Amino acid sequence: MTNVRLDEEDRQLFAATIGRLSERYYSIDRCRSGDMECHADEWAVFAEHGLFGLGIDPEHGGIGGSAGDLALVMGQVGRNLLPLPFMDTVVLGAKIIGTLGSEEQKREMLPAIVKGRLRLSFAHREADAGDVFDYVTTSACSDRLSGMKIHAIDGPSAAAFVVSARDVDCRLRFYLVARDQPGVECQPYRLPDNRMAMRVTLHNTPGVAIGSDASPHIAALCDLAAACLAAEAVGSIASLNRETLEYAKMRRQFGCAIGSFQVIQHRLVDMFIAEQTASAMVTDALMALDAGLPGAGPLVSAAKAQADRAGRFVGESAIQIHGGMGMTDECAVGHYLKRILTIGSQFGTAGWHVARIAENLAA
Amino acid sequence: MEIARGLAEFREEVSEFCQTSLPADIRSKVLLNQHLEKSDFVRWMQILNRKGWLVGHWPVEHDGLGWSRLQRWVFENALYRAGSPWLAPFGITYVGPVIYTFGNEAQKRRWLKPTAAHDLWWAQGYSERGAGSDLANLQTSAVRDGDHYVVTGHKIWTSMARWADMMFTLVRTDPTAKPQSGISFLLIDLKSPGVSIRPIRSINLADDLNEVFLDEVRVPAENLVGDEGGGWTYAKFLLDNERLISAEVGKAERLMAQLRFFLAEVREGGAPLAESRGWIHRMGELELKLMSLVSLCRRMFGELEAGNDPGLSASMLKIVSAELLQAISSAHVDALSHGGLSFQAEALVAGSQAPLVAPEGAAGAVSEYLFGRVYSIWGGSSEVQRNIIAKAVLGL
Repeated sequence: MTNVRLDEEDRQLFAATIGRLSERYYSIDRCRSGDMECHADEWAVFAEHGLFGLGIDPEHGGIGGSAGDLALVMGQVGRNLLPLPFMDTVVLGAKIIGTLGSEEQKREMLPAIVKGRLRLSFAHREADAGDVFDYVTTSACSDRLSGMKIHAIDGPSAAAFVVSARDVDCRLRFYLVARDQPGVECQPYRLPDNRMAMRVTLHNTPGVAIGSDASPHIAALCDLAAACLAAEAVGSIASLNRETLEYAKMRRQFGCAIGSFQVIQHRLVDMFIAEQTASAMVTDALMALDAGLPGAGPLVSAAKAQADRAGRFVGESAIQIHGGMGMTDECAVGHYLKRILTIGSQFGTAGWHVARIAENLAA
Repeated sequence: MEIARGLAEFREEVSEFCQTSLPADIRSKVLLNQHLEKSDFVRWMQILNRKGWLVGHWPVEHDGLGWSRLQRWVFENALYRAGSPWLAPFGITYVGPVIYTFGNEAQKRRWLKPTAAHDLWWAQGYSERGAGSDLANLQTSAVRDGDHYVVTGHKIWTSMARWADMMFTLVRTDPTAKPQSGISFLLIDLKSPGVSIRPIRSINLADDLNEVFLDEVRVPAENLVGDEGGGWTYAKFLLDNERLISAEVGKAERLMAQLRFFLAEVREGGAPLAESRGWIHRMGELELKLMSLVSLCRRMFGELEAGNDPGLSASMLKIVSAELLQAISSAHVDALSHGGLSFQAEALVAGSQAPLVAPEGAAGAVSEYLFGRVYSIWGGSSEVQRNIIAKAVLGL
């Protein structure tokens, strides 16, 4: 990933393109159907519009751009509940290859990502890790991997997993593991928002190392992912607020719109403040990441914690204001809350990020 | 003090009865928050009926034991702590008391025994699309035609209507009267021609909620409870009873035990969450909330014994209980999130062989968190309860 943001004109152009595609691919029926896999033809459409070149160097077929530009896409993913695993291939996969990969790997894989021909699934988290991002017990011995990973998203469509493991010298390294080969055992399971994840068990499975020691990069990688997820959450929060505000103006009880009641007004204002606060903090975190500031970590933690908490508050409030309607699978607001729950459990829970802020203060 | 000691012994007796008599398969479903069948509810409620406890809160002349509200509360909470399913309240706590309080002798003879024995499953026909918080705005009409009422309208959020034999229904018998005074309380046989029921899928992927469509349904006039136009009084009497059973301390205790289980199971950097200082503190905060609900219940039920208005106490208990249950459920989700939140809905079916990727009961806990949004919505939202207290207690 580059650190230079696209210029404002390009950003606006991109935002408009993503917005248009998002509207085409967003549907609440899709969220309800249980089919939240991104189909090959959908993936191809987003690739054709150049989305997957974001963050990738022009010399490898990309268009450059920074964390802030990737977050632009993630915001739309959240706003429209897209089943687009942009995070897994473009944010994480391309970043790992671009940062750690050999020249040959970059030449081979980055253009394939840009063109939509290579999908990757990030298989890093382990069952006992909790939020500790460098807790990895999967072992790599002579480039053969053994261990278990959870929460690998887009596994069924990805050609390969990007797996973290510790080599014989206990160094943290990433490996590419082709999905369809002996020694890879996949168990798919559903996430709250109806996307599928996989538990991946590796039994002495051959992998190809992506560079050497990843330890110096893992914190920055997780910060990038956390900031992008926070942007996704803010997108969902914005949609919840828009839907709920419309409903409060339209729904009538006691002879008037429920939005005329002060208790509803105050709740809607608090939801608006929560959105604005989270959005502002995500902006600050992304600026710090793009500027390469040494203090970016706590800003990212603040943004992720605030986005997760604001998301829970806004999602729960949206259901409360919708009343019985909000309790139904038909209504969009529950689906947004489920996306927010899912985001909240990835790349650091709010509780973990708050602890990180506290530790930073004490240090 | 004598009364308190008696109740403590009674609570022990109920707990022991659950140990020996609550079927293990039903208890397991409850503890994992898995789907319960109608037969599960009925089997357990009939076991309680044979023990004489199911309608212990009914007067002695109607085969009850004349329990106080405090004793009923102690009873239900001992059950829920032990993993009892929710006692479907529609017959035994909602319509039964309306019938023995406001019904005529023929109605008491016809309906009370099968209701007490839970041979009949009742549904609650209250809310409509345009009448949620504003219940008095209901539009389902009942027009007198000889010795029948002809009922046309549409009820919604009707819990478990597909299992129900009968629905007690608020209908509008006088469209010209003021909203509250044109309402009547009618018992409708759901097998009648013109009744159709459509399930509504809820956010936790259950189908317990329903819409009930009534299209020129002929209901015998003898099924009118109390006076024509007096329905609002009976409806409010029933809602007070509904809110009084909303203080679910026993369920909260069960969910706290489940939270402790998750904290022991979910690991952070290899160590259980239960050892983290943050979680120890949070458990303390939740326990504090639980203890405050218990104290509030003791005070409220004490005042009820002294004959004070139950409606006002009920509103307070409903608000506090909803917030407690939602806070514990949020903690479930937070604890499970450390290990990566999943929602394996297949694990909500008892006997599922699906390999779990999360601690046992995790899918049920996510389902409970989602469904638990309803505690501050149904039976009068927390906003409406606060309005009631503001007006009636604080005089605002």
